[in-house]
Amino acid sequence: MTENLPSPTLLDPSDVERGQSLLLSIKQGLSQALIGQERLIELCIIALAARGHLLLEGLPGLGKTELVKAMGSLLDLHFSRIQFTPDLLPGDITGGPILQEEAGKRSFVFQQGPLFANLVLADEINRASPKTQSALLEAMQEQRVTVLGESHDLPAPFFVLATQNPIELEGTYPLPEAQLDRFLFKVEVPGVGSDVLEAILLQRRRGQTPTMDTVMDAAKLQEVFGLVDSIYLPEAVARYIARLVSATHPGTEETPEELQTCLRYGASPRAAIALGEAGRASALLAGRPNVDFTDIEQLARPVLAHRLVLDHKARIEGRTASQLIDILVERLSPVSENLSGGRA
Amino acid sequence: MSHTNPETELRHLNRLLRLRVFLRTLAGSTAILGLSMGTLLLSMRLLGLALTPTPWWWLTLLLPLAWALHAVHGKTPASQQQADWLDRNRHLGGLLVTSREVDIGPWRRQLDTALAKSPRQDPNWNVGRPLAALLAPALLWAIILLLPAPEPARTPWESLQAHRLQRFEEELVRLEDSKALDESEIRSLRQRIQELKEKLEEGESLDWEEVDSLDRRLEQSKHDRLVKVQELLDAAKRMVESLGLSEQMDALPPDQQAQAMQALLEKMEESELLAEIPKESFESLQGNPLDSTALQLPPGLAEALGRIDAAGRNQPVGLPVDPKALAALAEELGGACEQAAQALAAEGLPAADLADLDRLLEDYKACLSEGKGKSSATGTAGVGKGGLTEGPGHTRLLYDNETEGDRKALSIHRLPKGRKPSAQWQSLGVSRGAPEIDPLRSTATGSGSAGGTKASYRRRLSPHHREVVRRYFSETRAKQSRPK
Repeated sequence: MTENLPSPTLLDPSDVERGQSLLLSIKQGLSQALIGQERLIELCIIALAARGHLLLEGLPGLGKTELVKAMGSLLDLHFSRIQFTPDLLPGDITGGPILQEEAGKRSFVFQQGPLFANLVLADEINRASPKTQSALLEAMQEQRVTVLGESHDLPAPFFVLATQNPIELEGTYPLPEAQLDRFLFKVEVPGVGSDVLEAILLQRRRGQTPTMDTVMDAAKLQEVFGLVDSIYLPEAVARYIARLVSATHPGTEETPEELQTCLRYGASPRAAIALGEAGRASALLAGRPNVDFTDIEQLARPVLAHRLVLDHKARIEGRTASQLIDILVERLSPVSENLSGGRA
Repeated sequence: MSHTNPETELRHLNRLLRLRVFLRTLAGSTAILGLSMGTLLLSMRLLGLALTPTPWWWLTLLLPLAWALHAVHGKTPASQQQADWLDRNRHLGGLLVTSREVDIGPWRRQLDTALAKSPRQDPNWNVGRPLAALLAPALLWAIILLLPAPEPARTPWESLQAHRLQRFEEELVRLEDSKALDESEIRSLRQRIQELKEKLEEGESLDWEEVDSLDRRLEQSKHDRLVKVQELLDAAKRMVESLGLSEQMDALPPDQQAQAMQALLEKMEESELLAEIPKESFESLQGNPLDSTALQLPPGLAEALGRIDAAGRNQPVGLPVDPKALAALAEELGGACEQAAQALAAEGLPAADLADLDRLLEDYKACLSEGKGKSSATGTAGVGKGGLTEGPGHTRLLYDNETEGDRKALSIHRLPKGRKPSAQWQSLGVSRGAPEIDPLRSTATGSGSAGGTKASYRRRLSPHHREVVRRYFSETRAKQSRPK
């Protein structure tokens, strides 16, 4: 297994610069589609480079779907959109066998569903039934679909970009923890200010997004993936990721006292892996050959927040998982600030 | 822009952290040691104990230093931690941390540039904490310093020397009370002891030779005094012999008696025993019709007898030489000698010296009794030796073994300091009042030993009794010779 690991050498500056420019080209294109959401765009690019799935949560009209559609346009990848509704069945997204007659012979042939695409937009994913949501579990983790005992590999790369609405919760089905854990990020799409609205009004006609050219094909994307894999993760940063994820579990030594009573379950090892991979992608986007502490601090909230199970006390006090992660990052310093033994 | 080398920055940070660890640990351990030592010292001060020996206590100050040096190696953050801190606080983007694990190669320049752009900053350090830690022991030591310090500690040798000097001083007091030594000699010895004690108190080292020389000097003084007493006894013996001879011859020229008297008086003057002899003994010498050749009285005796003229000159005078008075004077002199000898004996003279002194005293007593016998007896031989007997009255009367009714004999004597009464003494009771001692009676009766009673008999009762006996027999002889 160790031979698959990247060698402990740093990328050349030219490679890093090339990877960064590729990611920045995507960022530039997305910025045209979604105005004033720089951080959201960065997180989308990081999730893409880290080969992670993205869950966008926000109010209607904030541009979630437009963002994903723009990403599909920028990447020369097979893009499909699935509008999740309560009556949607698993077979509707995975596909299924149909009876087909060919040369006088009738046989069942697997007809691929909309899930067989490189970029899948799962719009309003929480409106589908748990049964249909569960159809995504295998696809998101193992990138394959099993129907009637027959497995079908999904095309690579495979991304699920899901959206959900935090309001109008009647007739919705909250995503189970196992489902949430498979998303690299859960990003809360923030509202925009008046200046951004003004820019939108001036640059758009009838809400139509500008026409965008393809900036990256599958080969380039694979190259980006290779570069991300070559980003070095120092031991100190890896140690910080481990401490951070471990501290999300109540009862551990480094968990802040304030969080001890607010958390019921912490993040899984999958979260630590996701944080490390997201850190690599973030470092490449920033043009660095290695992951820094700041990458982890900035990514901790979108990576860890949706993986926590809060206690009743936190709910009563109105605390959200994002707030708790912010507290954790603030209290848990990546390095010893008290080197001299005095109070900082 | 001058600090662009990561290694330089790490060395600077490492030195700074080691220094801070050293100072922090030094302050903490000093505070702990100060509190513990202060508590111990405060307890010792309250109990009045001194710190001995002092150098070992000063060595404890090395403990915080050693502990701080040990902590520099054990408590200084690891180099990896220092690199992490420097990377994060100088915003180096993880390149410094990475450089410690892999070869960053072409990224080195970017690291140097990032270092140059960020200003140097040091880890925060709360100086108030170590200072606050030192505050408590400082307060405790301030309290300790306000307490009076005990006497400086002495080494065992110095304590032993001080003890020896104290013993000498007590011995001098005993010698002064018993008048076994001259006052001038006692003053000289006491001054020397005081000098040595002051040297000790000032912390100067004292040579044992200086202490031992005191011992030798004291012994020499005792010996000199003994020699004087021996010479005096010899003189008294010669005088008694001459007195006996004069009585026997009954017509000895006064010059011979005067020469013996002259020698005796000079010895008395030299021995400083004139003060020991009651003044009335000298008065009996005056107004005697048998004036002899003029003698040169010693100054002390001349002053005692009032023979100094108005001009302050000690003129030769006609010294009355009366065998009776001289006999009384010789007896007084013997008593004084005996008293001085007893005092010397009480001070632990060598056995050989004491034996010589006892022999001289016995000779003197023998001469005295022989002289008396010769003066009273008519024949040359005594009773039982062919001489004449004078009847029952010739028997010696003994006035010892006083009864309890004789309260005058039961006088109060103050014992010399540090001496216990001998087994011959009987305790009559304990009185809190200061004893009043008649100096004349005290000197006459000696220091209270059994020999003092006999001396008193000889000095006071025996001559008087002898006169009574002499008159009785003279009157008897006169009555017998007178026709009735």
